[in-house]
Amino acid sequence: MKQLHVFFIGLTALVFLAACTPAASTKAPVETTLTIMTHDSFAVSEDVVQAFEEENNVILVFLKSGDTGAALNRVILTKGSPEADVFYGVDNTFLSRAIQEDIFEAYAPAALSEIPEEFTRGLSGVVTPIDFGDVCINYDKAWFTEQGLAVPETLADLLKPEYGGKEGEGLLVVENPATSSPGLAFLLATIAEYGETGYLDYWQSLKQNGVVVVNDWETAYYTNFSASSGHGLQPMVVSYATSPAAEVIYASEPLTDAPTASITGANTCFRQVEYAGILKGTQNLEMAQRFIDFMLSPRFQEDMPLQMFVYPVNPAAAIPEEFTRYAVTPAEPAIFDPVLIANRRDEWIRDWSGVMLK
Amino acid sequence: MDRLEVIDLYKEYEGKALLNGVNFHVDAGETLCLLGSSGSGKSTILRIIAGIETPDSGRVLWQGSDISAVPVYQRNFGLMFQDYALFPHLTVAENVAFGLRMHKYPRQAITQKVNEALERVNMTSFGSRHVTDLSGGEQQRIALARALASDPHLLMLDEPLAALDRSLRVEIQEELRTLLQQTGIPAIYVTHDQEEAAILGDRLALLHDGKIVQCGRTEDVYRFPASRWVAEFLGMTGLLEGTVSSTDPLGVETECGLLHPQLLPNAASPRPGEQVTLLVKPTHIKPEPGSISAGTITGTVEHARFLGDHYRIELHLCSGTRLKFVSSSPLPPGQEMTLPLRAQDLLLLPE
Amino acid sequence: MSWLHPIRSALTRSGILLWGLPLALLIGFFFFPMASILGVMFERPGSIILRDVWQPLGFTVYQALLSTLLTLLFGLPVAYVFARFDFTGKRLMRTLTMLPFILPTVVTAAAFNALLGPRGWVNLFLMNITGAEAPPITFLNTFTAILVAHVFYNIAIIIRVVGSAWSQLDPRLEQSARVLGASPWKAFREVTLPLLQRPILSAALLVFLFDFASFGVILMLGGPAYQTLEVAIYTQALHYLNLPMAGLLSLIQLSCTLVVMLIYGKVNRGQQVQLFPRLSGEGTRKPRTAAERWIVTLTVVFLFLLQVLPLGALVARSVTRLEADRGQRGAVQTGLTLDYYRELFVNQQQSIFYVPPINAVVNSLEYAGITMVISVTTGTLLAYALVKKPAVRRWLDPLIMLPFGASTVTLGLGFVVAFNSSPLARGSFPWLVPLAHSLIAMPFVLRAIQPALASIPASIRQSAAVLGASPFHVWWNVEMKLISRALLSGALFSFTISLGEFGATSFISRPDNPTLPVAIFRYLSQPGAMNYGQAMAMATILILVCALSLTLLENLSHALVKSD
Repeated sequence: MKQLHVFFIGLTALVFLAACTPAASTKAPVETTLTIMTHDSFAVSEDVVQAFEEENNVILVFLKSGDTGAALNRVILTKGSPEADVFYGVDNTFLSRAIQEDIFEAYAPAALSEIPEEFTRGLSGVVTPIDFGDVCINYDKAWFTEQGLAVPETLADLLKPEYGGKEGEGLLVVENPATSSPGLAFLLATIAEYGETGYLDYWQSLKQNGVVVVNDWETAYYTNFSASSGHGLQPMVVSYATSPAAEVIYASEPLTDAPTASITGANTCFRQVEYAGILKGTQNLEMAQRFIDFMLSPRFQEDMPLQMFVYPVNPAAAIPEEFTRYAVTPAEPAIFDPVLIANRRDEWIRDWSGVMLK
Repeated sequence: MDRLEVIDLYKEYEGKALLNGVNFHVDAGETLCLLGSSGSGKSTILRIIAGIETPDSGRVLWQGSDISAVPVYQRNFGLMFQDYALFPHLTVAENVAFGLRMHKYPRQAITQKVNEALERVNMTSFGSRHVTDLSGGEQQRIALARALASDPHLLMLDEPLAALDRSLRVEIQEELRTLLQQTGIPAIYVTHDQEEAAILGDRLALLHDGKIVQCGRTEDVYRFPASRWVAEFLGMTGLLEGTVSSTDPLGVETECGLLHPQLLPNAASPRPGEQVTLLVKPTHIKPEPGSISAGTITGTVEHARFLGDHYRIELHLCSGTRLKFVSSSPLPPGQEMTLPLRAQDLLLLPE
Repeated sequence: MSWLHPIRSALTRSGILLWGLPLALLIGFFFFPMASILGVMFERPGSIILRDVWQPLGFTVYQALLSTLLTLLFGLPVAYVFARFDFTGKRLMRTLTMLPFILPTVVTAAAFNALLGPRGWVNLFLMNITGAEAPPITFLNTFTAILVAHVFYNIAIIIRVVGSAWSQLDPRLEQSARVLGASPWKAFREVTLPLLQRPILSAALLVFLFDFASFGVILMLGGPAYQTLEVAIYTQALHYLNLPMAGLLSLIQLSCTLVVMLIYGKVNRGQQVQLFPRLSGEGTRKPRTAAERWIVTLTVVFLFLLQVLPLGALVARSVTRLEADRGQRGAVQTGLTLDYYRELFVNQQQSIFYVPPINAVVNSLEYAGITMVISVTTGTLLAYALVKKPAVRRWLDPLIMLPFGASTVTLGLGFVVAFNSSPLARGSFPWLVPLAHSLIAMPFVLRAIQPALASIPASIRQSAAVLGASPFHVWWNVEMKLISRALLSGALFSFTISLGEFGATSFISRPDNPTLPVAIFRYLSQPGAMNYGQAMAMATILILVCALSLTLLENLSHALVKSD
């Protein structure tokens, strides 16, 4: 009897607690609020946000909305009365789709002139490049040393029998481009190398050489890759050029050297560039512009690498030591016209699935 | 004055009249047994009195005033259900205390009254047991204790002994009788068992076809069953069909010959030629000669059953009708015998 | 019934409440957003390719049927053992079987990987004793993995729903069949099984719908070769941005759910089991014969293998460093460590999104608590409404089960479209997450409470009223107490569903209030041994929090039944 009373009183208390806590944690709206819609991988330091907030008397609210596709969908579906003022995180594989949907207010920050032309080409001042990262094959350094095997240098090398195995038991694990963004990036790299006519043959040979396909980066990296904590069977994985640096920073014991490295030969990597844009319909246009400016400033740009493991587009921003020591930037990453990607990606993925998943 | 009156109750169920104008009353200190076959609407009457159901028309008066508008939980009538309806989530003591708690008795009074109630049914040591751990008889006593605990104005018992075995039933019947007399609470006892009714009821009310067909002191009902149905329902045998041949003296021609039955008190005289039923009352028949005023009747002994300290004899009367009666000595099967009938042994029942 | 009058007159007014509140929840937070998004989806550019419908549709039905059958096959014996035998550790086992229910698929995948992956404990052990070079067991990315994971997740439903009905089944029915000459199998086949038809069908239906809408298990354990409708919707909507196609697939998924529910309504004509205990403890006993002891032991071993081992592997992984088996990292030692737990409390990168584990736990518990209150309240209201009008169930059941068949992705986008620029807009409305969770939990609660409520004999209510209990007291002191077990079981389910729900939450939860599953996923999305270890540590915390809440609730329900 008594227990039941206590139980219900407890429940009621819980509800009130729950109802009150979130309300209590929201600050009083004395200043304007700037809302930034972004993907789940977004991260930033507290003091960097604070600096901007204090300087501009504004409160920044970040809406994380799943992966890039999910976040972009949200923005497209709420076109006209956007939930946010700024959208950060659309990359070059999705960019032209976003531009077609006409969701962005044109804005070209003054600092854009300092950004390498590579990142600004063809943008017509709608979005601003913020960061880039290269999707590359990571390899397990110790494994190759132990086996006395040379590390492959090109995509063609991957077809050699020494990197192969029975079907599904080769040395390389890749992600499904239909469900994973690094998977799509790597597919694009192979298309850049072999062209639209040759890439399917290449993948056919890769399949015969035992390439392993999984759905997501988490599985590829943590289950299949031999140098990760999962200690899988594949010594090569499609990941990011910065992953070796992350392995050092997030090691469970201090490491003197990275356990992994990237293969950075010509067209083995694909460069993902992420952009930010002001959403049409914003009530805070001027503040949104100031925030885009801020994102290009060294303060923000220098914070990004260790938060998100990406490179700043602003050459003036200093690169952290871990990056210079353990990560290599490929000299000749695969480069694509965003419009071409937008027009052809669905077909490429479908054809790829036809070869690889049947 | 503590008097319950039920006036002209009508109730339909699925288009059929279940109660078709039911009238009776219960006075302070008496137990009324409501008898009827299953499905006759006995329980429905109780539920209407309790306030669980509403009649289509009719009234229930308590101390002279209509209580139709009083909700069930404010009537303070005790009702003991056939399946006892003990609360399985409560202990014995908590079950008994339930009504007291609902009537907002102070805590100490509750403890005291619970003990009293348990004492009354000899279950004092069971207070902390779970009702689901009790046997049928124990559950029955708890249900009774629970119904009585908050001193109800009226106690209603709905076939409370139906689920018990015979010896237990007899034992509890006695206890109940004593208890009802001690407490002096007016009670309505519903049963389909005429023996039980005979033991427990100060008065009987027989329900048939939606009506009370006879209501009166138990002995009166047994002595003068008001109809063939009542006689049969009370387990009487020896019913003979016949035609009235003369009215003064009353003579009825039956297959067993001309017989001279008594009329029920206040009954109108039948017309000659009328089809009537006669009841040969075995309780009074003695197979010895006496003042033969009603005629004689012959039969063959079918069998004699030994019932401990007496014999139950079954005769086949001339017409093939059965007649059962008690005898202190056995009679050999097949024996022909002639029964002399005294006036009080033969009744004329209205159809 | 005149004693009902006060309630009834209140109810005709609040009949609106009885039906209104649950239906409002359903309409406001399911049908409205679903209709909004489906309307929008077909207006968007994109292409519908019909051949991309049949393959996932066929596979979805196939794997769901097979998974459900397997879950029944393994679940029914366990339900039997739990219903009929008393053994040491029974309550602990019951709690443990609920645990997988709360695990986000990311964690389950990690758990199975830790156990059965190429370098999982099992393969390492087998390689050690056989001296084999390659791991002998391939588990991940196979169809078997999907089936095992589905059984792992859903066996709790069978055990709870069927087991509790079975334990309340009057054992004399089976005994009298035996006396009449039926073999144990015959007695089971001819008497027990037909009597348990309702709970079995009901549980199987829930399992089927869960498997039908399976997403994470297929994606992470099945691998790219397998695609359910839900996975197809996810890919079409979020990777191809092909919203018309996603909309069509969502509609097909919804229609399938509706069809399944209608078939269920037609088939489910079994007897209502008498759920009212005749005598306490009747029917359960200690195993006596050697055969019975074997059955109980086998069950415990089976559950241990299926449920405890993967979770154990996960917990073990959260306190183990495994990095020193590579030559160059000489300084690093293999061994036990609490570093991952320690690091959880440090915001190493000063990220603004860092969430202390305590906060994630509190957020999760808060959401779960609110979900529990909402779904138990609405579920109870619905149960009452159904007890009054049982015929309504035939069309109501399909409706309230529909949220199960709704794609999380589509519903998530639906929330965005429906509540954009309204007072309910996601950012300012903290109750959106528990409301979404409640929709999923409501059918469970209803299924737990409705039979219990329906099986209270009318005489119990009436006798309480005659004894002087006002309608309120009849409800509070009798009905609520009698269904308290069912209430708690419903509460348990809704609580755990909310704790583990990830799909819808990731769409609508606010970044400053992540739940435990969301927090786990954050760690897993970055490379580095520390991130992986922290994810495992966070998962272990999730398991512990859940085990603790479950034990608490179980104890409470036990105390309630015993003390009252």
